[in-house]
Amino acid sequence: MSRLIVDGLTVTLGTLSGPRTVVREVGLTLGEGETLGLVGESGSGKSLLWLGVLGLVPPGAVVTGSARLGDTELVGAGQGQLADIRGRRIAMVFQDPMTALNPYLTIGRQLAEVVERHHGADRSTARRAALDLLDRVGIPDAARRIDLYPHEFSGGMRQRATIAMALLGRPDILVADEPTTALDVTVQAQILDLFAELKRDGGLTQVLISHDLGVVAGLADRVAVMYAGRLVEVAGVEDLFACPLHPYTQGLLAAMPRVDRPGVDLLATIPGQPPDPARLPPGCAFAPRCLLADDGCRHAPPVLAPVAPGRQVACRKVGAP
Amino acid sequence: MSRPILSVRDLIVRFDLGRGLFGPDRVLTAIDGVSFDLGAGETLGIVGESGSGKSTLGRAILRLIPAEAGQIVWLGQDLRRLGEGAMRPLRRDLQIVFQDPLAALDPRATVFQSIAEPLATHRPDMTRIQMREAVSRWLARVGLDDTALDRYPHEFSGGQCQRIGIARAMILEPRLIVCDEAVSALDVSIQAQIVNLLAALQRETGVALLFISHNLAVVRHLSHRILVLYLGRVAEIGPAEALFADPCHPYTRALLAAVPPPDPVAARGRRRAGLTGEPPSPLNPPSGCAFRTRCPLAIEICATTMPTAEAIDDDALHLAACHRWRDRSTQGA
Amino acid sequence: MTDAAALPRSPGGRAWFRLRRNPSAMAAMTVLGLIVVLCVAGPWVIPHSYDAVAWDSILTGPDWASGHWFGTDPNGRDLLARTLVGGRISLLVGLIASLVALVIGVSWGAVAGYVGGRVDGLMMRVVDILYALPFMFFVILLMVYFGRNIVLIFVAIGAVEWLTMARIVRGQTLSLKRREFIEAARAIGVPGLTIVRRHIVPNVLGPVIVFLTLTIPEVMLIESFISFLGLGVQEPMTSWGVLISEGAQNIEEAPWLLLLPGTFLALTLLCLNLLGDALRDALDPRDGR
Repeated sequence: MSRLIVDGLTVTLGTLSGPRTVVREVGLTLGEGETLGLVGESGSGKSLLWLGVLGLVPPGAVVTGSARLGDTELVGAGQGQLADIRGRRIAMVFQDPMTALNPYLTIGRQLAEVVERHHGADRSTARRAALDLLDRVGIPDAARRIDLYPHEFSGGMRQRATIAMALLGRPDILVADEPTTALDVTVQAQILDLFAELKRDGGLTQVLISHDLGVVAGLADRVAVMYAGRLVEVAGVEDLFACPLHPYTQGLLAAMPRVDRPGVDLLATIPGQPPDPARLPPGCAFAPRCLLADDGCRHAPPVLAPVAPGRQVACRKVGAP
Repeated sequence: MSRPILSVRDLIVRFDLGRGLFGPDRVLTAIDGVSFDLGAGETLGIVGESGSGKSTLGRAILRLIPAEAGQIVWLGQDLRRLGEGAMRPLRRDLQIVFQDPLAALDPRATVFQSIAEPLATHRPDMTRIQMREAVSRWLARVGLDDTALDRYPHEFSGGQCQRIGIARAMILEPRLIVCDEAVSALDVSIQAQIVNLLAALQRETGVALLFISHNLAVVRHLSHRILVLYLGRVAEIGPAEALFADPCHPYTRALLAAVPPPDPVAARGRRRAGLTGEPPSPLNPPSGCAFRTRCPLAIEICATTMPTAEAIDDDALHLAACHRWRDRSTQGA
Repeated sequence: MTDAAALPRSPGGRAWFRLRRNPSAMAAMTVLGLIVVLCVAGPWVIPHSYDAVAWDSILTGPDWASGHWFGTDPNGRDLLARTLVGGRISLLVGLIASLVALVIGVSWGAVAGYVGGRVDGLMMRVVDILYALPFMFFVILLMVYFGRNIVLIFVAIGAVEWLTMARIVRGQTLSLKRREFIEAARAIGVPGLTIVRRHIVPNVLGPVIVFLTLTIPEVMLIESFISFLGLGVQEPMTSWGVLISEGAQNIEEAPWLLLLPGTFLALTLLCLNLLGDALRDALDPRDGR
């Protein structure tokens, strides 16, 4: 069963220098209990895609297309309805936990407030619920820490607290946007373990947005790769890492130095620079950096087409069956 | 290793954070007795988490931050004993490349002005035309062309700005560059380009690199030797391959285990977080071994006695500061 | 960038480009330019001199026929001529005193902020102490000691206004100092004063120019105040402040005496404030471009 169906989603930002389309015709389905990894470099539109789905785009931005959650259409829905959905059905966790936490309230107070608002619980029930969740996200000695302020938490604990806050409304879908990028590796490993646990406990559909293929590899069931606002490849995680089809995915994997292998002389690189979203080429956005590109690639953008069961690639050089 | 060009001995850097409202001066010991050597043309990777003091170490060596004690011996001269005036001519051999490539360039200076600044400072004999030629040569070397000369940093992407920063660091052909998280802010595809560029420049000019990074994969790729810092102290130092093949400090093992590999099969099969908790505050470090509060092997002696660096191999190239390095096989990390 | 062709490259050029697209800023600049031209060139063109007494028309209202288009003052002098000449003084005081404040304030603040430590502490304590001195006491002291002198007004006002400028520049410098491009310059071995001149000052100029446009009106008001007290410019020379104070004394029988210089001063202040606001937006675009 599909929880969320995104179709033809396009996000255009209004900037001083004119409109700029940053997400182009993205189509995705999210199955129940599935973990989707969304990979892309900075400026690929991977975060804005979800901000567009949840109606969190900056003022002046235009979202078109469709994103259906069950029977509810999210694109064009009223802010009141979206706010309700954001709390209870799709929750988001961001890179910098401090932006999600109010520095003037204790962690416990902030969590309890959400419970009181969403579930109409009284103060002591809400506090108990908050405490349970802090325990669940692995905050040691939660009974004492619940009365601390955000600045008294370490970076990893703050991120745990924001995850707890996201889980408070018992959402169906958790969207985590670069949740470990600001953390040290040893702490990142702990947070990734927490996501793995949430996944094992079942039910929760997760979207893990990251620039780091390593972060996605261990957690995701499926991976979607974005480049210049478009999906270029969607595949099961094993397939994608074992046999990437799109030249960009191939380049990305080859360009990563490996901690588990001795250094080679030269890293494989993708030549050139990431494209300026304001001046995309008419054809495939990756064509200027692609070794396989020919005139056809430069003229019309490729469509994301199925090439195998559960696999889609947007590349004219990858043969459709 | 041939005669080192840089020998750091027992370096201590402290920051006085001033008096609290009540109570005594609060002093943060960022670097606590670090020693190492660096050979000509060698890359020493310095890894550690935030708060380990790795950036402070790089800046203290370049005397951008004053050190409290110890020696920084550069080609036989202790830099700590030199005044800023005596230090200035030496600076042409000591350069730095920063993490945030855009912030490292003056937003109101053209690319030419930024890259030519070392020439303007150290080569007053050069004419403007000679400088333009030199800058243009280095622009080409780092993969940009002359159209960049009169443009401003904001017109370039992060990767291109980092190339400009590298050209500025290289233009005097220094003997040492401190790379402070030089590729950490870049996207993977651009990161690989810059890593390759640094490696190529080292091969051609024989510049030594102090490559500071939290990214173990990049450090492993570039470094001949690696130094692992924890809370301002050397946990382990050794040749890159020896250190990765046989990590002797439990912290090194934990760091290595924590890196998620871009490989779903390997990632699923492993227990990930070997470590619980986060590094303690350098304002109030634990007694004895700084790592003992998170160490799965910690015993009584770890709390009472600070471990000293012990040689693992016969040549004393691989050193670890751990009381229990001989028991490393008992830890399942 | 979308319209890279239209957008200038240099940061200063971009600010100017954005400023030009701001209608209120352009209107303010036009009006300001007009006032300056009028004040500078006007007195040569109009038929009356500012200090010529017309015995036959003392305190007359605006009158086209006599050539006293905006009337005369109690001494029978042409009001338009006096307003334009007074404008020269007021604008000059505003400009020069602000420039004095700019030069002293920027150097003082940048050096204090960049050097830091004890030097910073000492330099900023000096600023604090000067702040604490009553300004009028300081001006009266100067006037008594050196006699009344227009140059002294410039110096006195500039000497007070630079204090705020120094604080602003020091604050900006402290945050700039931590930026990596300053560290890069230190690593290269660029001497401290050169870093201040080459990297710090150009980068604090943005906020400083904004502050300057707000300082000029303030300085003009202070000059009016000093002249109002009788410590400023001396008869027959005049300034907007003096004219307004005279106008205020005669507001019952000759309201035009207040109206003309008042309009000029108010317009100038309004334009400078509008320009300051527009500059702030142009130099610090939220668009990030």
